[in-house]
Amino acid sequence: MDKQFFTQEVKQAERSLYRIARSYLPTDADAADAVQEALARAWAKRDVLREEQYFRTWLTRIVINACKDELKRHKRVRLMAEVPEPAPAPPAAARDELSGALETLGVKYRVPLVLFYLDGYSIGEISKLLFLPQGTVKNRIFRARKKLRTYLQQEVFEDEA
Amino acid sequence: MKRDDLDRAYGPTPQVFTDRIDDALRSCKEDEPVNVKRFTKRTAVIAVLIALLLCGIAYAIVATQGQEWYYNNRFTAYQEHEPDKQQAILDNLQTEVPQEESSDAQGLINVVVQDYSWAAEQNVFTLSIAARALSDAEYELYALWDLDVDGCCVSTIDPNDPDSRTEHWLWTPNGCGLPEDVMNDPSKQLLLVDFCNCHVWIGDSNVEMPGWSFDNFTGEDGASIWVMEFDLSRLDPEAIRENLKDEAQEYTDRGLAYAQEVNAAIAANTDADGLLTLRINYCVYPFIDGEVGDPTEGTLTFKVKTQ
Repeated sequence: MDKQFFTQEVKQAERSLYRIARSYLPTDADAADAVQEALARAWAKRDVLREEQYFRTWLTRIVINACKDELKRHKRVRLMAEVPEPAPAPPAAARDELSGALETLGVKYRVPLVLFYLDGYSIGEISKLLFLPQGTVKNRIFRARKKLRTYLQQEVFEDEA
Repeated sequence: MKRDDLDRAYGPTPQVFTDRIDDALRSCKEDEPVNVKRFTKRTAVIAVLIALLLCGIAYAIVATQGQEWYYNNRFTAYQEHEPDKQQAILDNLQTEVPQEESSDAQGLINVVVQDYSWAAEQNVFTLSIAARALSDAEYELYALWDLDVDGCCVSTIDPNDPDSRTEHWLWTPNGCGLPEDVMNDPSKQLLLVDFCNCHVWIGDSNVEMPGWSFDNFTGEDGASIWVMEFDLSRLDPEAIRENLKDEAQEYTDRGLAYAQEVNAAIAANTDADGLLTLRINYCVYPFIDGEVGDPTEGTLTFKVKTQ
């Protein structure tokens, strides 16, 4: 894999990587940290990927791992600090009701929802990305929609009906 | 709500994020060595030979997954913190166990005592039991304890608990989820075995051995394996008095009375060869249409040498 391919694919995936990282992490800065780390790891292990057609899935897996490491690092820092961590900055003005609804979902429902509806991964692919049985993935997407529907009082993903 | 709405909910990609990606891409050097180890042919051959040797050893252990495997692989706390206890268990391990062949009333599963250890010097008696479906082609067997291990299956969804659900989830080596999603072959009938709180009764009596703990797991060959531990110090009056010396006298009296009852039952059910007869009951539940069905019962009778 050469740098040109790597750069091109990463830039195309930028929006998707942002959504995935923000599904895990509370702030844009944390998401940027995690994705930067993920890209360094991906570049270092670029020869592991044998077929370039799977680049997006492979990179998504690395980003998810980096996000989980970042979450763990946050927990360790919180436990060690004597001063409570300051609350995250209030959401930007652009946040609307749906943003609030997404935040109530929690990571375990938000991530499969985003991977399925926005990134177009199949249930089987999500199951491999998240190391979950397919039934669990289906269940979590179903529950995420149900929660959003309850919160928003409207049908979710009407085009899926 | 449409997909675009969901994407918009994340807000625009912030510049700080784009800048960090660009930084990361700039720092990727073409001539940077790839962080993947390369092996010479000789190293590869040696690695393969070592792997084959380890597989041979692993197979010998995994084939039975009795207590020898258990205390060296799954439960290593004694190895790390009570090595004398671990050594005593393994030194006294008996794999030839006189027992009556046991199947449940409907002939769904077969149950055997794989091994036991009566390690009086460490006041511990342990045994491992393996249950297997009699027809692998029709049934897939797990422990009843593997069902809903998270405690989240409820009759009515709790709106305050996002994890509450009304479906049963099964925990198998493939993961935790709906049974049809985590079984090896969901076309098979799911069976669940339970050893009835792991009471081990002495002979035909209603006196039970002093249970301490149990563990269960699914073996490599699909067997449901249970390891039980019993505390023999509860049969020793001196140990009872010592252990309960700071408690109210009634606890000591109760402990002594229990010890007397158990010791008498042991004496009455030990034959001339020093073999004590023990018995354990179990139930097999079919899982049908998303629910646990009515059980069929079985009894396993076996003998252990106590001296």
